[in-house]
Formats: sequence, C-alpha cells, structure tokens
Amino acid sequence: MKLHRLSVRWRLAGAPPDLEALIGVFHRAIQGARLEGLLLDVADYRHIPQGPGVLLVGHDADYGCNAQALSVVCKRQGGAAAAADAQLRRALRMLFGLHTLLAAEDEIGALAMAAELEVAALDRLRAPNVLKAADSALHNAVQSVCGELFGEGAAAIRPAADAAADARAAPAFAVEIPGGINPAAALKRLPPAPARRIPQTAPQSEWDISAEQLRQWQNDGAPLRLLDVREAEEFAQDNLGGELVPLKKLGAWLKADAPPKKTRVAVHCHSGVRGAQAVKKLRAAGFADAWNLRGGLLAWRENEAAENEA
Amino acid sequence: MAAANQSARWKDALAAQIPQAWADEIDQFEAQLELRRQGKLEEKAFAETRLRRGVYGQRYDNGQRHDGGATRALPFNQAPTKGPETVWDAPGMQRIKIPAGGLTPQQLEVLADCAEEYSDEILHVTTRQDFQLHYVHIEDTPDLMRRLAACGITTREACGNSVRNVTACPLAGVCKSEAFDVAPYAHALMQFLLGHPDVQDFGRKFKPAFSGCEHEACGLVQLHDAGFVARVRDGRRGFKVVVGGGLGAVPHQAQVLSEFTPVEEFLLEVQAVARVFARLGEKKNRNRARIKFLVAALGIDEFRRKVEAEKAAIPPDPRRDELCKNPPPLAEEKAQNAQTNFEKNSKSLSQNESDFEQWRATNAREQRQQGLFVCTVHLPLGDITSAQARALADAARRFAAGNMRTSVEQNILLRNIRATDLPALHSALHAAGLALPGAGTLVDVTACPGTDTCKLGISSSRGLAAELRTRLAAHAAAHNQNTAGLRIKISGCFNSCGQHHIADLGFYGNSRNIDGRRVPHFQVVLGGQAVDNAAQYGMAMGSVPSRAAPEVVMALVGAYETTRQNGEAFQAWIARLGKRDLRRLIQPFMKVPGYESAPQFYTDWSDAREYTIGDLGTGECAGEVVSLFGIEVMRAESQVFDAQVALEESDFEGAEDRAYRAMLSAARALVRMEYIDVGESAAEIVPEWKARFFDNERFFDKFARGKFGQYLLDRYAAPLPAGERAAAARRVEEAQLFIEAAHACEARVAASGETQAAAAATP
Repeated sequence: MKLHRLSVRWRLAGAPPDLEALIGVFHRAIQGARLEGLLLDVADYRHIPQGPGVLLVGHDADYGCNAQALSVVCKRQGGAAAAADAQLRRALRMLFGLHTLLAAEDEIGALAMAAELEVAALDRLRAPNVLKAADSALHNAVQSVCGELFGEGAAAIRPAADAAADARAAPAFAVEIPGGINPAAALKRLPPAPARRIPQTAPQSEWDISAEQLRQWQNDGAPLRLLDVREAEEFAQDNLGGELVPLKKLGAWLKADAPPKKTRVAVHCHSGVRGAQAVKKLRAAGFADAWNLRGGLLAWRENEAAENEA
Repeated sequence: MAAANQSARWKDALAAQIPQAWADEIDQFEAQLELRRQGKLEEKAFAETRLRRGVYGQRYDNGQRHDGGATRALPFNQAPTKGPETVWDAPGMQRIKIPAGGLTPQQLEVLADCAEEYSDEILHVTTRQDFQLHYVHIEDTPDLMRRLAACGITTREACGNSVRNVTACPLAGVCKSEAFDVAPYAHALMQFLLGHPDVQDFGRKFKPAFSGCEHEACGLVQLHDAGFVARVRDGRRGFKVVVGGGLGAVPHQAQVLSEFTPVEEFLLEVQAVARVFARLGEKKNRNRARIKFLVAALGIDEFRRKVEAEKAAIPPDPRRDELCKNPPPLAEEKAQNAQTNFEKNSKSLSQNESDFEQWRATNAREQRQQGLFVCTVHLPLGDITSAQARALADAARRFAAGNMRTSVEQNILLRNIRATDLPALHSALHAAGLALPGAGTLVDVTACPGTDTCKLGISSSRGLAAELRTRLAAHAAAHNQNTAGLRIKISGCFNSCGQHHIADLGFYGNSRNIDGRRVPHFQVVLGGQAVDNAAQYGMAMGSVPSRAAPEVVMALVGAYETTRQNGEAFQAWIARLGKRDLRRLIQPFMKVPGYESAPQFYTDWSDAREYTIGDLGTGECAGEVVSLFGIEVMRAESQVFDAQVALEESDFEGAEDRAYRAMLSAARALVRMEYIDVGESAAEIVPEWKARFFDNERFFDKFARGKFGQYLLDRYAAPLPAGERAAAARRVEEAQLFIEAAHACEARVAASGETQAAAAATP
C-alpha cells in the first residue's frame, strides 16, 4: 500500500524545551546538514496557542517541536520508500534523529520523553479515518514496524483519542511501549539514513573551483600560486598557507609582484565573495588559469571536516 | 479494498461535486503542468497560467538560500522550471480567494484537510480576506483545487493580472451603521467578473472592495483600485463608486467616479471601468500599470467621460442585469443544533469569569439585530491550525448558524450569536486555543508574510509582530482605554501588503549598511488613518533597526499617554507634535550599536542567521569605515525629512522642491562613489547618474526594475506644477523610495565589487 503522507509524534513527558533556542539549533542543523533530507528553512509558529511550535521545513519532510511533542511529517514520497511500512521506518528514523540532535544540545535542556508514539496518515483519499478497520494499511504498517523495533507484541496499539473522537481528523494510532523507548537502540534496527551532504555553495564567479579540486591540485604538485585576498587580521586568525594579498592591494600586486600570465593562480577569501572579485580582476589582467575557491576558507574547512568524518 | 484505494483519485472521487466548468479548468491546468514538465510549454506562458490559478512563488524558489554563513544551492532538480528563475521542485504558496470573506464550516474543514495534507497544517488569513497555504508542492495543486472546488471555492484569478478577491466589510448584514448589506453585491461582482472576457487583458492586478458605510474602516475602499460605498437615495439602493486608489510603494487615495450609481447599473459601471482600463492602461511597464496611474494621467473627469462613453457601447447582458437585481447571498449552512440547547447551561459553561469578561469586552460586538452578537476569533498573525479550524467549524455550526467571515485584520468573525450563548462560545473557543482577547486592539498586530516566505521580504514583519504581541500582552498600554485601541500594521517591504500606511503605528522593512554589515531596519510610518475607509495615509518618519522597533512602539505609546491634552486622539496628538518633535522621540532608537557589543542587531526577529539581503553575503566584508556614500546619503535623508515638515505645514511647493533635492542628493551620493568631482546642480547630477547607474540598469532591482529611478527622471524631464497636496505628498513618498533604492543599489555595488576606480571613471 502506497501511503507516503505520514506523521509521527513522540510526546514529551517533562518540561517543554526552550523553543527560542530551538530556532538557532534548527538553523545550525540546516547549515551542517545535521538531519536527514533536504532542509529548507525554519518556521516560527510559537505565537499560535496549541500550534506546532517551531518547524524545520524540509523538501520531503518537516521536523517540529512544541511544548508537547517532537514530530516529523513526511510529505512526499522519499526515494524508493513508497510502501506505508517503508515510509514509516523512514519517518521514525527522522524522529529519533531529531531526538538525538536535540538531546546533544545544551541550550535545549534535558528532554524527558513519554513511552508513547503517535502515527497518523495524512491522506484522506487513500486512508480515510475508519480506525475500526484493523486491517488498514496504516495499522498493518504500525504493527509490523513496531514489532521490528520494540519486539513482537511489545507495543500496545490503539486508535489515538483525538482521531477516534472526530472522524474529520486524520486516522492515527497511539503506540505504547511499556519498557520505554530507546532511540539509539531503535535507530540500530532501522535501515541506515542516506549519506548527508551540505549543499554546495552557490556559484560565485564564472571561474569557481571546489575545495576538493583545490586539494587535488595541491596533491598533484603542479605549480600553483595560492592567494589569500582577506585582510591581515583575518589571515592571522586562520589561513591555508597562501600568499596574503588583500583585495584592495591586488592592483599593486598585479603591477609589481605578479608571476607570468600562464601561471595557475587560485584565490580564496573567507566565504568566496571577495575571491570572486579577485578572480575577475585576474582574468581581466590576462591570467587565463585563475580560479576562485567557491565558498572560501569556510568551504575548505567544511570539506576537511566531512573528510575526517568519512 | 486496499487495491481500490491504491488507484483512487480525487478527480474521480469528487467528479459529481465539482461544477463542470471548474472541473474542466482544473483538468486543463493539470495538463499544462504535464506539458511544462515535458518542456512543451514555454516557461513564461506557464508562469502566467499558474499565477492565474493562485499558484505563487515563495522565498528560495530560485534554488538558493543564504544559510547564515554562505549562499547554498539547494539541490532541487534543476529542470524543469515553473517560471523564470523558479525551480519546479521548490515549494510555493497557494492563494485561495474567499469572496467577501464568506466561509461555511464545511469549507473551513476542507481547507483544514488541505493544510494538513499539502502544507504545514497552518491556514493563514491575509489582509485581503484570502487564505494562503505555504510550502505547497506544485504537483499537489490540481488535487488541492479539486477539493476546494467541490465545496464551492475557486482559486481562479487569485494572482496574476486579474480581478483579485472582492473584499467587503466583514460586518456586512449585521452592522449598525451600514446603509444596506453589501455582501450579496460583492458576491455578484465576483460572479460577474470571474473569467469575464473584459477582464483578461489587464496590465496589472485589479482589487475591488465594498463598504456598507462611509465612516468605518472595515471596507478600506479608499485604498482599492475600485471601491463601492453603499448609499440610499430617495429610497433607492446604490453605490458611491471610487477608482484609482492603491497602496503599493506610492499610495494613492481613490477618487470619486460616481456619487451615486443605482445598484441596477453598478455592474455595467464596473464593466465600463474594466474595458477602459484594459484598453488604455499601461501594459509594458508593470510599475505604472495599476489603474491608479491611468486615473492620475487622465484626470478623474476625463476618466469619467471615457467610462460614460464606454457604457453606451456595451451590449445588453441579461445575466448582468439579473445579478444586479437579485444578487446571490453568500453560502451559509444551517446550524446543526438549536441554540437554545445551550442557553440553560451557559452560566456553568463559562470556565473563567474574568477571562470571559475580558474577551467579551474586546471580541464581542452587538449587531444591528437586537440581542445578537458578532464575535471576533482573534488569530495571532492570521494563523490557525487544521485542528483549530475544525473546532472553529464546530463552534460556527453550534452558535453562529454556520456563518463565518474572514477579515482584512486577519481574523475570523462569527455572527448571530445569542447573548446567552456567549459564555458557551467562549468556552468552546478557549478549549481550542482560539479565545485570545484583544481583537482590534494594540496587540492585534497585522503583518504580511515578509521574510518568512515572501520573495520580496526585506525584514521580518511576522517576527516583529510576534515580538510586539508578546511584549504588549503584558503591557499596561494594551489595557489602558486611551491606548488599547491603537493599531499596529507591519509590512516586510515598501509594497504595503501589511497596509502600514493606514495604521496608527506603521512599519515597513528596509535595511542599512553599518560598518560593512547589513542591519535589518523598519521605517516608522505615523499618522495613517483607517477610519473613513482609510482616508489618510501615514508618513515615513525615519528608519530604526528591527531590534529597536518594539522600544519605539513603547516610547511613542508612552509619550502619547503622558503628553496628550484634553483627551485628544492619537491622530490629533501626532498632528500637534509635528514631524520634528516626533522625530525627536524616535531619534534615540535610530542608532545601531557595534557588532561586537550587540550582535543581535545584526540578526532579525525569529531568525538566528546573520542577516543578509541577497544571495551574495555582504556580511563578510568587515572592517569598512563609514563610506562616502553613507555620509552623502544622510543629506538626502534630512532633505526628505524637511520635505515632510513642509508638507505638514501646507507648504506644498516647498515640499516638492525639497523632495526633488533629496532625490538629487541620493543620486549624487551614488555618482560620487565613482566620480568624486560631480557638481551640485541637477544638470550635472542627473545625466551622470543616468549614464552610470540607470541606463546600464545598475540602479535596478530584480523586482521593481527601474521604477524608483524613473521618479527622478520624470521630475527632471517635466517638473509638475506645484501647489497641490496630493501631488506633493506623492513626491515626498517617491523621494523616500528613491533613497531606499539608492541604499539597495549601493549594497549591490559593494557586494559585487563593480565600483570602478574613481580615477578610471573620471571623464
């Protein structure tokens, strides 16, 4: 059964987390691709009483947290996960991933979680709210996936109260796990998440290169002049061993210190903006093999971190 | 059973419930989606098609987003596109027209389902009585439209160059001061013009509005392209018809086309206006294409002559006459339960006496009909969740005979509530988190979507609004009878979707460059007036950093409270103080502290990212001192301030002159970045600025293009005769916008490093 609009919620048992701090946590999660899926933006709905709190809106799923629960809503069909059970595994993996992320953030505070999950199907055409149908695709998926995660028959599954009371609400099941929920153990039993990647920095000049490319050129050992076009104070804090030529001194450098025009030159700055200006000037001055490190020093350090992780 | 569900389609499931014409339109739209996906339909043609069905773009749909550190290419599939620089896969916004704001419980339930399944469970009420869903995927839009069509809602002509939602006073039919109920006429206008051949060829959008009386604020007809005010003359119903109003970047007050048009002829009048606008309105330059520019160019008398001539040429139309004679009422549902069931319980149902009393004082209002009340469900920032919407539908059935209206204040009104049911209604709303008091007061802040989801947003209007709500809820000013009634309205940019021009305290988003970093700001707009259908627009007083905007509100409200004389109203107090003294109140908040001591000033409300205005992060270019541009442009800002003072003192000639000089100073500030020796006269400045910044489009921004630059060129080419208030006010407004555009231009130049060395550029 194809059922890709699913929502999973995990109720908080203790004090609500600091939702103001959560906004920053979510933005950093986007920056570092710390959660699964293509992450887009943060929506602050704290002003709505009984509302969704703060959402991390994604392309195919939204992560959320309010005073009552952590939640994940899968909106689109993700990859090959078309069947209801596969989609539920994915949704739960994202939910436990969200918990893992928040639990590691000091600003959020300790998270006390209830021993109960709620799973809803958000597709009134394929999955109308007729909870008595024990053979429904939603029920079957909940039963089989919870069996895999918590042990056969360990979870008590019953129609969720709100959905049972109101036929207009999306069909939902409450799943109680008497022994409590161990997200780390559950994650081990779920299929692994696809590799996460920080999106590429957007093009900054016509002559951008990636951090991997620059690394490769350096490893190849071919002649290369590396220019750092930031200011001296920035250079002192961190650098890649390039030659310090602040952007505004590039003109003078071209007149006095420039190598032959056929030399390969790579420039970088902090995030690629000044580098893009520098490479434009170099090309205009006749350097046909001049390149800008897209994303600058930030992209270089990010790439380093990713390689170390791998 | 599972197999049958598997292949189920909304198209089949709802076939019997959708009018055939609407079903065909949606099928056609779905076919166009498929053609575009296969690359068989041109990008621009498809964009116009989807806009006409309310399928709108949203922030980051060009596939790029600044994450606080760098601009990232969001890895959407790059093909196909759904418009220029708009990625197919990027989520967008769906606008849903609600004519006159009339809504049944069943419709609200379907909207709730759609928000839950296709969006983020939030229904957002707009400042034009529409709903908007955000983060919607384009593949889901045909089914979304079918589900709405099955309950009588069409999204046709919700965006694009078409007749937009027809708005009306949400109290129509129950209001004490109305001449008659205008809602059926609004509904008739909508039915008559929807898809009408005479409204398909506009150069720009066209927004109509109805009001039941002259003096309240509800209809806001003065700021609409066409407005209709109910009048009764010799026992006959008719409308005062006004045209050419509009907010936008430069607000225009509508002008009177007809003092009295009998209802039998009002659709003919509208049709004639539409045909004149379609024929003579600007088509190429969208910045001059609203009907307000046509009315201003022709003059209202000539425009009226053309409309009269057009009327004579329009063929007879029995459908039109029938709609005028028997305007269709808005859809209503019958209440499911007799209201009397609750009467005997009402005392015990009121859970908290003081909460109830507070809510009743601000949210319940007596109707014209004896013993009945209209109650406002106060939605914070216009937002309601799917679960809340279902609870509200229940309450509407139980207590309001199934009758709801959205309002331009972004709330929902329930009507025909018996006095004895008020406590039970309050309890029902309270249980769903919908019993917020303070409707129509200081805490009921209006805001457009701004940087949350809008592509044009500059500052976080919703973030500021939420912060103000929180601070004001606990503040004495919100409960003090002198100040509780003041209204705050916020737009995320100069485009006025938050209607900041008609607020007591208005704000619109802009930004400033401080020591090489961008800082989100809000322009403070004071002196606007919503009553008399928005008869007076406010004036820009100066820009304050976003983070200081709440302090500005507190300072202004506090000063009003302590220095008002003889119970004078806020408007009168603003007028008495004058721009100079008001500026003095705002001045202390205009300064931006250094990045090291107050980094929060360099982020916006509800956003943890370091603030940026574009795809190119200008935030990294630290260490610059105040630029030459910064010093020069301050002159322009003080001149525009002087122009406002002159305007206030009814020195219209002086105001126009100073506004012109302000534009010249801003233009000169730009020129001096490249050519330091430029002279002081207009003849020296304008050609230099035009050659260096306008002709090569460096002054242009992506959306307004050369709009603001044209203000200076127009004034330079043909100075208008001075001495008239409306023209002078417009000049002042234009000068303000020109300065904003100069700031933006400077930021783009700084970010792209385009500035040519002074020596090289000197002729």
